[in-house]
Amino acid sequence: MAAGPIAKQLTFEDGLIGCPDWKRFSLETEAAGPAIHTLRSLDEPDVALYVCDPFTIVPDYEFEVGEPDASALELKDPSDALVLVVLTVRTDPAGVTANLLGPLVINSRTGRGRQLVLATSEYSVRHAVAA
Amino acid sequence: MLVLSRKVDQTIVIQDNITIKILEINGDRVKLGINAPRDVVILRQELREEVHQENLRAARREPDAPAGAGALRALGERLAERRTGG
Repeated sequence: MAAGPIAKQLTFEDGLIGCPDWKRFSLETEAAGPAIHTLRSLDEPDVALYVCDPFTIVPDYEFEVGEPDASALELKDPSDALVLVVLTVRTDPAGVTANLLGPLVINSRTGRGRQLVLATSEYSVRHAVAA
Repeated sequence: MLVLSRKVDQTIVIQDNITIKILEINGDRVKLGINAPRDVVILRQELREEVHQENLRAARREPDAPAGAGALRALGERLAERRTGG
């Protein structure tokens, strides 16, 4: 996790990818256990996502935040960027996967976030992390 | 929607600074060469769709449902160990 205070209310102005109405979230740190946080939609009460720090899963996880995304997030200092990935709890087959293809990048100072799609990466939307 | 017909080596220009050239046609595959400024996001639609579908799958209707909670908790503990233990 990034150092410094993390805004508890996050705003994704464009929503998440394919879900443009999911704009405002509350971030409940470690609500679902250690190292796993809950991103709860303030727009749609039924929507909640488990998220975690991707670097605990893949230590060498890396991608570039391009200029349009960085300026939309007003990210000037890289240390302000909080990166989270969305976890999916699966029943068939049972397990947990992480969406490394579509990370969430958040300006921890302002609470503004965007979901990126890492077009040129080899990362998967279903990276197995637990059976 | 604008529908254009192009042959190999012909180009489409969008807004002066984006060009799309038909490089090769082979059966049902078309190879395109795209030139655009760095701030223009170009994505294969399937990638966006994959992320969209995964968002829907991840967004649980019942956030506190016990299904998978055990696996998730175990994962959390493992990740927390890595985070602190190095």
